[in-house]
Amino acid sequence: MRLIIFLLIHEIKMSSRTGGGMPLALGFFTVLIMLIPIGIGSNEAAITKLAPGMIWIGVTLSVLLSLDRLFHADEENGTLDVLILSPLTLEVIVIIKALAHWISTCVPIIILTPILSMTLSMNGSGIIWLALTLLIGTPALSFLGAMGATLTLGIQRGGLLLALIVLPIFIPTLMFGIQTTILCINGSSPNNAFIFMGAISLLSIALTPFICAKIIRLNIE
Amino acid sequence: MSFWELANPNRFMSLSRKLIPFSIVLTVLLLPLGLTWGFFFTPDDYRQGSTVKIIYIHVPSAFLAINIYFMMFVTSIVWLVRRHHVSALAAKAAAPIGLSMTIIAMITGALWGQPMWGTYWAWDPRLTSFAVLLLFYISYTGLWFAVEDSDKAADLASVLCLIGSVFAILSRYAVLFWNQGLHQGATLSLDKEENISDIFFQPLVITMGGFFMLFFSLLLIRINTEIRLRRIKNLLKARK
Repeated sequence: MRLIIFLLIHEIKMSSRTGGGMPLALGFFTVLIMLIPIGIGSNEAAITKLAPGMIWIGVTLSVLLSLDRLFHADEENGTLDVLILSPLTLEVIVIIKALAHWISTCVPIIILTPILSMTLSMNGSGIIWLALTLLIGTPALSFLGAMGATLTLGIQRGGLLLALIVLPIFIPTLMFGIQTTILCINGSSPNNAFIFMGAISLLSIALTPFICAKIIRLNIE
Repeated sequence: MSFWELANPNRFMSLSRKLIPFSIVLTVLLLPLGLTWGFFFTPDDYRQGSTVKIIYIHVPSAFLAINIYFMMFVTSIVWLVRRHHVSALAAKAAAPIGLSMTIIAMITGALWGQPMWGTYWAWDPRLTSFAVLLLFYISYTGLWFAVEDSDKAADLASVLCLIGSVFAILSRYAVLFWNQGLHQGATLSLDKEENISDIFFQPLVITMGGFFMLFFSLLLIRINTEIRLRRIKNLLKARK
């Protein structure tokens, strides 16, 4: 247990350093959200209408950007081999790494979202709903993304391939997530979309560690 | 002879060498027959005019695009469970064919959609699921090319194929849901299969058979090529 907590803290520390995933994802997300109103023009009604979808897509792309650091850096400098030899099973290591990725990348983005969504002229309750749905939906992005990251583990410069693999996998989460957010903001019952989004989140947390561990074992033999 | 004996590349190659001429002959017979019958000897639809004839390319290619992915799903499972190389190579050989069929189905669908629905593209459930299918075909083929070691590539691509089929189906239904949520019941899909009359149906079945035989011959040829390619690679490796 101490080892697990130690590893989790270590992973979060590593990714919040300069050059790690967290500053990169946060910076990218901020720039992206700032660019959207510039691209659309100062039509406030249009921006407000597009805001939830844009923020969801921004989060997805930021997650994608930080994914290739998730396992790739560890594989290059040999940390992954040490981790495999450690008393922890590979499944647990995957959970820790994906969880650390979520805490260090998604949570700061969600904290940043309310501030940024004000620039997209969203109103108060809309911002709260957006942050809440992001909080429930983003674990799926981290865990499903880990799956893509393990698939491209041994490939040099696999960034484009990683995007090609991961983005289609993100599509259902994105669809249900945006749908839930829009329904919540409009004040209608988001039950069905919300249930599906939660289900994808929970299932991905429960199942992907086993798939990822299997892929890593296939990769490193 | 049990089906699994074909897992032996030599057995597979000797059988496919016998099958390829037949399937090519069948393709050459069925495809022109069905297409000329469909294009020139069927009446125009009373509502759609002559654009209805796109069906003879659109439906068979869409049918193949989905079923080739299903075939890849099955062969990937066979590779992961029983480790038969021919199975993995069959999935690898089928992917580019499926990719081209998806693109053909999308292009003909767009050309059909413009005069009928007034738009080349709409985010309707079937169209979206095809876009997702296209993405999975691309990432699957990309993964095969990116990984150098062929056994490892087969493993990873098979896992991706399994993951992809789960998410392709999921997004198919996600869109269904999403469209209902935004635009109440504004579905564009005509039910193509149900209300088609026999005049159109008979040539359609023949073109579908022709397309299938085309796929079958291309698949066998490509698997043979892949097996030879792998042998050459192993020989080169042994020489080093």
